[in-house]
Amino acid sequence: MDTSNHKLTMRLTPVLLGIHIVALPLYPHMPLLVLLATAILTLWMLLIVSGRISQPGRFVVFMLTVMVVAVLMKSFGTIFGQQPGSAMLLLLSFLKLFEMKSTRDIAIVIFMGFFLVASKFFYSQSLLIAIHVFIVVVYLTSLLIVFSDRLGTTRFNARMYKSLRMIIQAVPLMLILFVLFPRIPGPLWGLPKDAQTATTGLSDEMSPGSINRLVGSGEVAFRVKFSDDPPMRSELYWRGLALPNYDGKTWRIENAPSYAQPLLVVPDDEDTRYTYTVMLEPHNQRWLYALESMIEYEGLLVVTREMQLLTRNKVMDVMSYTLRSDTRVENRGLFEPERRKNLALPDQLNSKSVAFARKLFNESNRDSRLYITNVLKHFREKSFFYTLSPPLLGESAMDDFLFGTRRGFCEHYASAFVYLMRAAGIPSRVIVGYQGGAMHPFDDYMIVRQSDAHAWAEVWFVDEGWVRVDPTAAVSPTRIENGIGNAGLERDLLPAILISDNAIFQRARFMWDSFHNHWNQWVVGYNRNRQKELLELLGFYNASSGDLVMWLVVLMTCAGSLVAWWVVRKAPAKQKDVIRLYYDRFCRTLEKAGIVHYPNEGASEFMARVVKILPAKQHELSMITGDYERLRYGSDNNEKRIKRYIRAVRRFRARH
Amino acid sequence: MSITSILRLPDFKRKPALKFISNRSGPFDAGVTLTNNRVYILPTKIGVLFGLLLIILLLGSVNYGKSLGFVLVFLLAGVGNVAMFATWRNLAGLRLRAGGCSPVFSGEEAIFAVQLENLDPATRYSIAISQHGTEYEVVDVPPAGVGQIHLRKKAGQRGLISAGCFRLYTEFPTGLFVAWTWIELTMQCVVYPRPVKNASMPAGGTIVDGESDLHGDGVEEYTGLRKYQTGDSWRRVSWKATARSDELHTKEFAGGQPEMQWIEWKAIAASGTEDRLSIMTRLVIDAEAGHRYYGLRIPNIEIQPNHGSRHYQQCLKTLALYGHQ
Repeated sequence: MDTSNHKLTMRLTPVLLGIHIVALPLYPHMPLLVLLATAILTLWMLLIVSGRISQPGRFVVFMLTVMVVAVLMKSFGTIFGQQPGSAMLLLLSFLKLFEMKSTRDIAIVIFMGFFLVASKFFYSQSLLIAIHVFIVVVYLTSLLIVFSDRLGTTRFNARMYKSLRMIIQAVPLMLILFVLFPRIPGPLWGLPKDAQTATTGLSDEMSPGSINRLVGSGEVAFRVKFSDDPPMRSELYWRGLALPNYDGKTWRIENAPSYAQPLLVVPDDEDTRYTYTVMLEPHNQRWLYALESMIEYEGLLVVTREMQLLTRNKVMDVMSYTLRSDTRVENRGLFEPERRKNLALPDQLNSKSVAFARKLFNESNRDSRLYITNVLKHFREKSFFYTLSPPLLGESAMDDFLFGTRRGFCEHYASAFVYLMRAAGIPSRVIVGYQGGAMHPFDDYMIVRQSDAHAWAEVWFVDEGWVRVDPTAAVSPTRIENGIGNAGLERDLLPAILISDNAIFQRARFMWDSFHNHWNQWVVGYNRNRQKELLELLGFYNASSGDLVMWLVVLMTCAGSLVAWWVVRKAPAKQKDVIRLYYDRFCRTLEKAGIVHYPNEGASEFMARVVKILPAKQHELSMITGDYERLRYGSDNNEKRIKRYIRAVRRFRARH
Repeated sequence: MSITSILRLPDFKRKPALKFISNRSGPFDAGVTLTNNRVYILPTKIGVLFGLLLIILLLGSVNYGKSLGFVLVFLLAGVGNVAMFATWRNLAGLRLRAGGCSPVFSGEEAIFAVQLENLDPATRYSIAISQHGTEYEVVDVPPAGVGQIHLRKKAGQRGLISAGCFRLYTEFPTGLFVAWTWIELTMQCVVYPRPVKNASMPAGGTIVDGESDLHGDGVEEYTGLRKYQTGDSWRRVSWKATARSDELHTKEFAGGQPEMQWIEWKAIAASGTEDRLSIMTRLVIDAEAGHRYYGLRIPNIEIQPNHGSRHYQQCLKTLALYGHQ
């Protein structure tokens, strides 16, 4: 190893630290084997940096590369995709350090770090990640300083300060670009299949237990900002999916959703109309939630015949969309195949339930409305319980529930209700979504949590179309009117945020939520529509991409010039002026004593002359002259010397 | 750095299109401040790579719709922009002045010093100097202070060589950009003729001349100490006495006549001018090393016998510049 290369290796510790700073939030997502490999490579590198062992040769690095691929294959089964990609980038940055030859290699490692930091956005774009990104950019920029500082004379603090300063100077340009850069919707090429593996919230099927498992979670499903007053809580039905297909245990969505538009009858008066913006947390599904019943939606969204709002791609980031709903809309359309589907009861296992339904329907004079009232009355009066821990049901789930356990959560009641409807020949289906939502205590939006997950039913009437019926309301009216936290459920199964009495804790939680919401709205969820809104707020209507580019150029030129001035402006060379000023003062003092400093006379020549005239002052004269020359021409200036010099000049007297 | 090598020195001087550069780059006698129009800037290879990184990150952010990706890309673009100005600023405003250059013998390396005066209250880090694509030195210039940077040049022919146009550049603080200037300062270095390996004094060259107006100091017998005077041989400095006090002392000798010689053009048996000068150079070196008194006689010039470094340099310079004026 030649000396320059060795010197380079010695400077790698900050780079090593940099890789770990970059990768820190990735570690929780990494398999154990990858973490182990990271630890081994770090230790190895530390030994190299401390000079205990030499840099490995080409062959060893090649073998390590093969091993890295092997580790990735063992951990992920592939080297392609998001997670294996991040892991590979991480491990390869270490290998790049091993074969470091020039500062250019270090620049490459630094750039790999920027990629690595960007790969984390697939997992999260939270405020914490943003703070981490900021720290990483400051640190990696300081690394660029390390390697453009060819003599290695800058100090750590000075580098961090310089880096921080540069980044703060970069912020105006970043803001302008972020706000005005035209946002092109949709992917330019395909999205990765495994972009996000974790799905949260409701799934596209419902069986006993699928909703009450969500209720324990205080996680936010979405936040809603109403442009006016929100509707009453009992009207807050956030429709997600219609589940018409039943196999005796599980309710499922329509396999081939029809894009034929539903036939809506919208009331003329606007008393019950609501305009609102939903900030949906990523749930890795294509469907969105809308207040029943939605009448207007943004472009790029689709509505199916089952009144499901869909987006083109899975929602993998916070997504914001603005909708308009009316709580009194009638949905009238029903094709014959739909009718058949919404009457189907495939199993023969629940004969008691079917018999019960037929009997009750006949007792209700075969009147659908009366029959529904009677079924709900049955739930209300025959000691059914609303509980978060219902007992397990057997093969004949419906019979077990209706005539056995009689204890269930909303999915049990919705399921049983739709079953009884279909058994009586009334088309009906299960709807899943959220019910309720609480206004933020001191901000202007509503929070809908996973614990608000709910299932209800829709029943078809010839004269009214699809009508919502919520059987849970019959068993536990407080669930609908006061929310899940006040429905008399088992408190230890509910999320702390709903039932906590600790005011400070609650307030802190809500403050964080408010912060988070703004972050989501203006940063993570900032898209073409938000851009349009913001521009309209500033007074620009119907700005095209061309306009945006023009504004971008104009503003960037202005801001660029300001930043340029900021960066290059000459800081006044105060130090030097002070030193010169005090020397002039020293000369004036001597001038009063009759000793004139000639313009062409150097400081030391002048001193030699003065010493001859004032031999008693030799010590002071030589000190002032020495300090003056050093401060003006020397390279080791410091505050102490400047102070000493100024003091000496001030005290200097030409006579005793 | 390599992108700028297409504009590498001194080719631009020959290109009429780049005349605007050569007009600004000197030569300057008194020194020059690197004003805005003298500092050029381009991205380095790493800078181009950085640009590529930004494009890829931008495409990724658009494709995956990652807002934080946009934040990162735009922040980095901002850093790149600031880096450009900061790099430029690290060089612009620096004052350059020609420093000295000690004479060298032909075949040796001439070292030209360039004074760098920094008026800023901040250090200017990693300023480098190069010529014809070869980097010679990297220095930091202290705040409100002066630094020196050196340019080396192989001294070929005897006579005078100029430092020529050089490139002063910096990549600090990010290495993404290189800011540079082309400057020529009026700096010349005297190149003494290359001395031959051995030369003996030709017969008749040495004259013992008792009547010459020399000082009365001899070389035979030690008589005492006196204060060092300019021109005294270093070999006669009493280091022991110097160590005791703070001043240099010279040992004095009495008795005996100092050896004295004339180094004469006519006496040298050589065919060409250069050979002759090389031999004479060797004789001057030997005479100085041997504490002799020596004078120089070449056509049109005569230097009276003396010794000491000033005399020595005068003799060599005369030889170096013979025929040049």
